[in-house]
Amino acid sequence: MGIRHWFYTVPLRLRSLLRRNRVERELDEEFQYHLERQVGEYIAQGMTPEEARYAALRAMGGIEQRKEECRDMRRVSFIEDLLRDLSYGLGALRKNPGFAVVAVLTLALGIGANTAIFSVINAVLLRPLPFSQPDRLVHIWQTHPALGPTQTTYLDYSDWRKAARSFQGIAAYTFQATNQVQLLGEGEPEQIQATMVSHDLLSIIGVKMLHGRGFTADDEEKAQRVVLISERLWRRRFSADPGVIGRAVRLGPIANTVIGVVPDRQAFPSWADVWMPLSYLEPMLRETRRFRPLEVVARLKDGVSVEEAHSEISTIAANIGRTYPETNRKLGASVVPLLDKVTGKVRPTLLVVWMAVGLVLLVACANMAHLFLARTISRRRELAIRLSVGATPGDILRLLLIESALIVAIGGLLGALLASFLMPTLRSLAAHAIPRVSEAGFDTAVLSFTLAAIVITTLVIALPSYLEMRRMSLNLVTKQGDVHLFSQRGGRLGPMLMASEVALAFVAFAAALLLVRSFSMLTAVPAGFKGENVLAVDLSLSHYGSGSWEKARQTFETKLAPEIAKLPGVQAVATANMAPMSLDQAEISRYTTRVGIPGAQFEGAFPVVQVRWVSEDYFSALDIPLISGRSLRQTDLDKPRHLINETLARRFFAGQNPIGKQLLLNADTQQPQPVEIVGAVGDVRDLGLDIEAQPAIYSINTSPRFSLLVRSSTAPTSLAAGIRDIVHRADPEATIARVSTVEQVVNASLSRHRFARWLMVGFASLAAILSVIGIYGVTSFAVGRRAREFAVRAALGARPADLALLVLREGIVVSLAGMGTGLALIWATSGLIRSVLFTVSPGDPAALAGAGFLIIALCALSMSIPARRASSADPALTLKED
Amino acid sequence: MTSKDKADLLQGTLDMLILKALSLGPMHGYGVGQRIMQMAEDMLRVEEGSLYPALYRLEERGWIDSEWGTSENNRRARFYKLTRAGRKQLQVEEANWQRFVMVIGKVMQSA
Repeated sequence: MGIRHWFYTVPLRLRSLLRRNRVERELDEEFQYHLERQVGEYIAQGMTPEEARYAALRAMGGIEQRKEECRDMRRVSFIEDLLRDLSYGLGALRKNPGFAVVAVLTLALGIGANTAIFSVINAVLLRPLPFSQPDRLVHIWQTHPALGPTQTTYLDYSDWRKAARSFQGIAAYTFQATNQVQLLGEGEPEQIQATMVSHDLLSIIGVKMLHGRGFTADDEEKAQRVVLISERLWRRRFSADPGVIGRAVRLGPIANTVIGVVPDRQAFPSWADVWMPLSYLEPMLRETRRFRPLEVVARLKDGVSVEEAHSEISTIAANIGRTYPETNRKLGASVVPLLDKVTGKVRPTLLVVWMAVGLVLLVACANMAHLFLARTISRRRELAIRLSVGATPGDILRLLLIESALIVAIGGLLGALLASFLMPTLRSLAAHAIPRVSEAGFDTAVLSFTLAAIVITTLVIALPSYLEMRRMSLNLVTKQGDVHLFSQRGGRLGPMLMASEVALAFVAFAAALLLVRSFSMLTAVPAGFKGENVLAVDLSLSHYGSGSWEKARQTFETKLAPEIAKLPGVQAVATANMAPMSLDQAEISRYTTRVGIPGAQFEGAFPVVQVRWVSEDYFSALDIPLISGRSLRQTDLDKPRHLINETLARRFFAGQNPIGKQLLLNADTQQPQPVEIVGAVGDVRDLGLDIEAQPAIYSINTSPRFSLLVRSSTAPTSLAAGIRDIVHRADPEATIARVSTVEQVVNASLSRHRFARWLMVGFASLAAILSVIGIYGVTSFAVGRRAREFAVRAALGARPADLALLVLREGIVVSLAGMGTGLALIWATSGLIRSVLFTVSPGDPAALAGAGFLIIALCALSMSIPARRASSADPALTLKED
Repeated sequence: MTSKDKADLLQGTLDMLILKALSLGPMHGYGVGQRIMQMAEDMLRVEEGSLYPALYRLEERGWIDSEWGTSENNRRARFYKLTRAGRKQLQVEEANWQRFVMVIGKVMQSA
């Protein structure tokens, strides 16, 4: 038979399935034809028409039975049964549209929210990096016992590269803000992100160039003026012309030859628009073990595990520490999978969000399971009849599964639709908070997740009904009679579902309240400056080489500051080497120095302090208070006079007046530079609201790349266009990287926290709505089942309040049990929750109490209507027939 | 002619007879029954009731195929015809049958 057999039968079966009506009609017609011919023949043999018809029918021997035999031959009965159940299910849903709408919407919300969040999880945490064998790629951090993982110095990177044996190759690139370069020449001058990379970076990662070639060892050794450009830059500035290879582009003052185009899909690092050989790195950054400009990636040799590589590199780091104790004594190194490095910070946030949205789906499942259970119980007569006329529990399980699958499938489809609407919102909400989130969307993994969610949800929903039905069938078999109204059996599943809903809702509430509290703690932290009405403009002037700082200061003082001050409403114009909150974690080492104090001893290394170069009006522009001494003046330029902040004063001059005392800058070098402290200012959290103020020093200075800070009495964004004009008139080749208010910058620095908070509050509200519906459903169904019991109690003299209390008391017991379970769940996940909280602990009494209060309120709300119904039980009901 | 004169069909031979009848050309269900009886010179009784399930069974196995056509009395009727697989099957069954008849014949003669 084989293939030919299928060739014949598959279309046949499909026909019987898809065109059941037609097949039926054909069967009828065929039998009809036969009967007519037979009757004709009998008449010809001399029978009367009536006799003939009777004889023909008798000869067939039960026409319906024959038809059934014919249908059986097609062996489609199982599927037909399914279809029959399906149409029965559809009919049942049509008869009960309220139930259907609530069920479908509940599941659409649950599955939709989960699909949307999973698309983010998938894009950010699960999808492998777009390189060959991405699981063999690792990131190597330098580590500090207090500061944690940091970037690496050039010399340490070189030592690792020479000594390590665990890797096929070790490569390095400079991190983001170190290298913004100005793209000049054709078109508007533009500030673009460059990175300097070891020649083998892209080949180690496994990048296939779109055009041209990658770097060679020769390019790096001889510091050739060659660059790679990103595909997006190539499309934007060079109209995707393949002839760009070999052309010169001006980056700052220097012409470089383009030798290759890096595809966007594989761009590494992804933010780079220009790749240059690592030999471009300033000698100052290359020749010390103090500055950490490099990110280091490596590919593991076959058979070497991350742990083995980690222990080797730790040993190497320890050896370096012994050789160079002044700089490296406390430093270690660690190896982590590259994917973890890329997603590191957001992983706990996403996992907490995932947990929360999972809770929403579980609450939805519990709701649906109870709705189905209630329906099953109220259909017990019908099911009992089915069982007694020969349906097996398997038949009924199939019926239950089909009905729940029907609802879940419709809900799931709607949910997927909802998710496709949610995804763009999520992507834009998370754009600045979460790496790789722009790739979130439907793919095979997300669709499989949705399908799996649909299947599991279906099973979970049908399970309690099936258990209930089995119990009923046992009763039938053991002749224990039908399920009586007073029976408490079967009532156990309802309270269990309700308790689990309460537990899940409690966890969702508590997590949301914890995040809300954490966020308000974060925003309530005194930043130390006032960012309202201050515009921050990050710009680079086209001054290069020696004397560029002096030229930049003159440009600011003579051309920018006076002109900007004339704009309407401007109150103060200042510069700083960085605007608050605009420093990436990775850049911090560039803005620090090590200081000593004449006559003081420091345990181990000299302490690290933050360095801010500012102009005279910086403190008034940001409203930073002077605590003691005097502020900086233009006349302090080039003089060794500095301001310190409160933290530095407290830490190093405790109990003394620091004014007039000396600090030694670059204390760890051969030429420490003594400076005088002229004043102290208030602490500023300019690295991030969640990072405590560090010791800091301020001096008057301006580099060619700085942030303009403009305070005005009007809305500062209205100044943007005017400032742009002034900057371009002063320096036509200047580039402006960013214009925003300091307030916006501060808000952006909180985006990850805000993202998590919004989602948690959203999901908790969803869980609240669903659990109110669920608890109402469970309670009112229980009250309905016990209507007669309440009637008897009323007849025996119970007052309405007693009856209501009876309902409420049982509900409260169940809710308390649920809350206990919820607390245990929070305790079990406290490690994860703690990692996304700022100063708030997962056991925060206020948040937990708040969640408990909300639960009690919701339970009371959901149970009030059923309780009232119980209290108005009519004693006359006792007399009525069931 | 009463039905007592007719032989009952041997278990399992109906399929073979249908295939044989259809090997003469496409025919509708009623015609198949008639044709078998003609070939048996009216000495065989084919139960109409078992004829149709057998036709459906053979179609399910891919030995015969069916399509709607117009009958000799100008009515729409479902016509069955032998497929290539059915033709082969008929040969196999004919061979089996010959052997069966021979063996049974020997047994019966030896008495």
